[in-house]
Amino acid sequence: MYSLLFDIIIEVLGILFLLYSFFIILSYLIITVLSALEMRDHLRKNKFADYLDVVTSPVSPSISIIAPAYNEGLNIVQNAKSLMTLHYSKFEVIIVNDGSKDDSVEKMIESFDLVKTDFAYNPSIDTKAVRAIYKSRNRSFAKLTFVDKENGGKADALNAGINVSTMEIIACIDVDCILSSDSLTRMARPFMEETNRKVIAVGGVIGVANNCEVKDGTVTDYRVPDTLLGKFQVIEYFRSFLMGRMAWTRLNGLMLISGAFGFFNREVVLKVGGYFPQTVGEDMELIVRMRRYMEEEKKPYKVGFVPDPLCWTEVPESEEILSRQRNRWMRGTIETLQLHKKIGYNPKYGVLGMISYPFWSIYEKSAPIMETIGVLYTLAMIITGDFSAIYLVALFVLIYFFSVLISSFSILYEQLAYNNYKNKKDLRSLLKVILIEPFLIHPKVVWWGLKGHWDFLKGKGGWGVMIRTGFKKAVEKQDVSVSQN
Amino acid sequence: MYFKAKYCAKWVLVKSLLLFFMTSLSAQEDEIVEFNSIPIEEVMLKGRELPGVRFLYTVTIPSQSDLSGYALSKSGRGNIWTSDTLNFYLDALAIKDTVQNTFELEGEIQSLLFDEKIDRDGLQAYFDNLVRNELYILEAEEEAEERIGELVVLGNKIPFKPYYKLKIQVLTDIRMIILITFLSFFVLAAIILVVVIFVIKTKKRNRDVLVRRFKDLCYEPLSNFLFEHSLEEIQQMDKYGIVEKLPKNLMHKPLFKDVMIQEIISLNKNMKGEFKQKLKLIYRKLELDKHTLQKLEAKRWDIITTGIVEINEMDVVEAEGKVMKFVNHQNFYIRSNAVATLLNISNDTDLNVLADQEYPLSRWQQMIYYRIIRYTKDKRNIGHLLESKNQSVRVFGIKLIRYLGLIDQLEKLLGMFEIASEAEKIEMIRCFNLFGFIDSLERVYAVLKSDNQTLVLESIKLIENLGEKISTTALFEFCKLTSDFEAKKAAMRAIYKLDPSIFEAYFSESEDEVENKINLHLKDPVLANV
Repeated sequence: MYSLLFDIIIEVLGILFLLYSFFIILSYLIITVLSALEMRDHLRKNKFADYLDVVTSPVSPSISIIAPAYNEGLNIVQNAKSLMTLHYSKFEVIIVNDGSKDDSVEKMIESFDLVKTDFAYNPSIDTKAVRAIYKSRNRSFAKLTFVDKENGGKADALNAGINVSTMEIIACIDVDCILSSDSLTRMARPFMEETNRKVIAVGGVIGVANNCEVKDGTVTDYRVPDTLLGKFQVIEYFRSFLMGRMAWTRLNGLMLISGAFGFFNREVVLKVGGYFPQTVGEDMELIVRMRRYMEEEKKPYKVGFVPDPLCWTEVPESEEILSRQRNRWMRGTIETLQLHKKIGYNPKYGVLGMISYPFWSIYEKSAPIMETIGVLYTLAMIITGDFSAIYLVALFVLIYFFSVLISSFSILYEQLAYNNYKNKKDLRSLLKVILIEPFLIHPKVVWWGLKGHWDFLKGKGGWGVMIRTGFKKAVEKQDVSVSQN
Repeated sequence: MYFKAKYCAKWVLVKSLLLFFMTSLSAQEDEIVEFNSIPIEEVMLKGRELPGVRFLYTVTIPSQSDLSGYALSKSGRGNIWTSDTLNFYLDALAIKDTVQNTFELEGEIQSLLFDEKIDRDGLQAYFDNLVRNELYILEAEEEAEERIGELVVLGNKIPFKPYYKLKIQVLTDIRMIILITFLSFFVLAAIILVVVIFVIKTKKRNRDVLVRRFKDLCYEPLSNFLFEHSLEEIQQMDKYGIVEKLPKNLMHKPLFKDVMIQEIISLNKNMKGEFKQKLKLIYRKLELDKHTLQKLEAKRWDIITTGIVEINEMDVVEAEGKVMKFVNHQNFYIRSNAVATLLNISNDTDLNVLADQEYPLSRWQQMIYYRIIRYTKDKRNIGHLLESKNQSVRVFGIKLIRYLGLIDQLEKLLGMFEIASEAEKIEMIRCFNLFGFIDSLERVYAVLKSDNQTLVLESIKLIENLGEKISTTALFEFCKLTSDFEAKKAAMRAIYKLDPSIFEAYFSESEDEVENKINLHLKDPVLANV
């Protein structure tokens, strides 16, 4: 009896794993094709766009750039100056000091001749206390607003910036990001092009700046990082931005815009109550909530994506920092999916509920767990002897070559679309990383993901019981925020 | 060291096999399978070889006799003689019989399993397992015996499962079938993708190389035409005269024509006066306009759009009719460029092409059209756009009045104000405000009751700019009723500007926290200046 039951479980599990692998492969093949089509269309559209007009046209939307900063004293002045020199006519720069313990405030005051003002701060989104709002006496810096507030995390700082902002579009960026001078014009385009639907948000590509040469705030010479982890992240960013997000854009199912470089319709952001500070995945959570709001209000909308290289950031090359980042990303994903479980598999929410949510839930959130169970299953089969060597080899070959194929495509996409990494040595080095990534890095990524799951279960990240129940409606976040505070 | 390692390996092997047999035996206990054990002696006496089993004959003799002639060798210090390890039991039995007959000594046949001594029961259990697990097939041996001399017999004697059984097992394993299906699917999909990407990459690379080459080939002749020939000289030349100076063999190639057009357009954008005329003349003389018009028949939207853009840049006015059919095309880029081209090349003073737009105008389109209309505003009847059935066109029309400073249209706008949509009203109020159109003030007070925040804010701005002291009454009323922070701030700002004394009297002593905040904000000198 025991033997029969065991055999059935083994058989069923084996088939389930196979089906899971099959659907992953199928999904990624579809993503590859969709992203290729979207990239082709984007490049064709680019031929007919004159971005110079956008800079000066009275029709162009106004933009508030919001950059939260925590202990960025070393670079904050340089970065603020860089933001103020972007090529655009109607924009303001809001730097939010999130209770830094270093000399960020003093440096900003000194460098920009800032003075404390009686700015009428309207907390339409609840935030930690704002200590002061500074403006410059120098008219050259009229575009700059500096907000000094108590520490409350990135989302809280962004919310304070949103409260202060006055423009139509808000651009939320990391203060240490390097932006291309034409980044605002290019990111404004999707907001300007749409005719029948409201563009609620537009995401951009984040490039890896490690080892690259930067001149006047723009990357002039692309080089891959020296470390294995750095190179791995270059490939990973290609896969994520040039393939994943492009494909989701084609389906209008994009659920994540990078917190380091995202543009949002201010009106909709305010309607849904801004960022949710209780989650570590505030960037994903905001997009899901905005989309959910539009679906619930039955308003046609779109989330756009611009694949042009416009923003660069330094990625962590130390294993410790990277593991913390991945742990945070995993917790953010779980938290967001948990908060918005109502939309999952719900046809009322269209593509969001029936495609995007299930994909994230099954493949992104559960991947580390499924992979670990798969490995344990294989080991158990080997130990009990109920395993065919042919089967093992075939499965291994399938998964390995699939991973290599997808990564190679992402590099090819970059080469076909932008060809930034011109050095053959760099390309060879990236290809080598593709071959060893499944053995050396992927297991670590899975482990970090598992730790993220574990930390989520332990309640790391300040989750309360109430939040775990999720929102009944997208706009209910505001009530939750207030009660949490 | 080597022997030690060998011994260890053997030990591990034996233990593993034993473990295997034991687990097999325990597993067998759960199954209800009938198994008839065959005594091991029956098999051994038939002279069959058992895998892993060897035999050793040992005898002790009392005297100093020499038994080396009997295939025995002396071992140890005593008079113990042993045979070599023998594969067949019958060989050991033969030696035993010989020694017994000659010296009347019994001796002993020992069984060895993988060179380890094993008793009879152990040997029997091992044999039973071989048979049970089909590692030793009795029937095959028996059949083989009947066909002695045939090569196939030797094959059948190998006591392993035949291949066809493995094949059947592979095909009956559902997981294996699914995996093979996935593998085949994946390999097929991967091959298709790789081939497609490879083809695209190769095509792109070849195209890039050709484009670079063609650009080099075009550049010099075009420069010569521009700087060494007058407009009249070019006019007098026929197609062949111009082709003479260009790479003749390439002139029929579509890609070369495309590169040539792009080079002409690029130069045209950067040149002025007669140079522009020369370029357009060369374009016409080389009949590149025909190539451009062919693009309008293409299926790909980007090729059609390229054709339309070329018509626009090269002023191919005779293509107006052909472009007209694209003005309400479902593709955004085709539609946008078609309208832009017609605004450029046609004599449509009433801007009918714009007024008759079926799709809403995006901001991107408005930006492009504004750029074109800005330079020809005197010839255009912008007012006609206000009569369009398309609301976004009417809104754009009002924006144009503001951007182009068409003050004469303000009365018309005021006439339309009551029936206008909120989006139109917002633009109208901006217009009135910008041009200080005082007649609009009375109409705007009513708008303060609207739920549309932008509309309200624009109205307050207008009142702030054009209002009088009396206007503050309406603004005070508004301040009392509204809970919107931005609107209250705007209204207070307007009151502060219109009548500072009333503002002070009312707000400086206010107990309302929001009003106090705004009061301080409005009086802050730094904020007032930025």
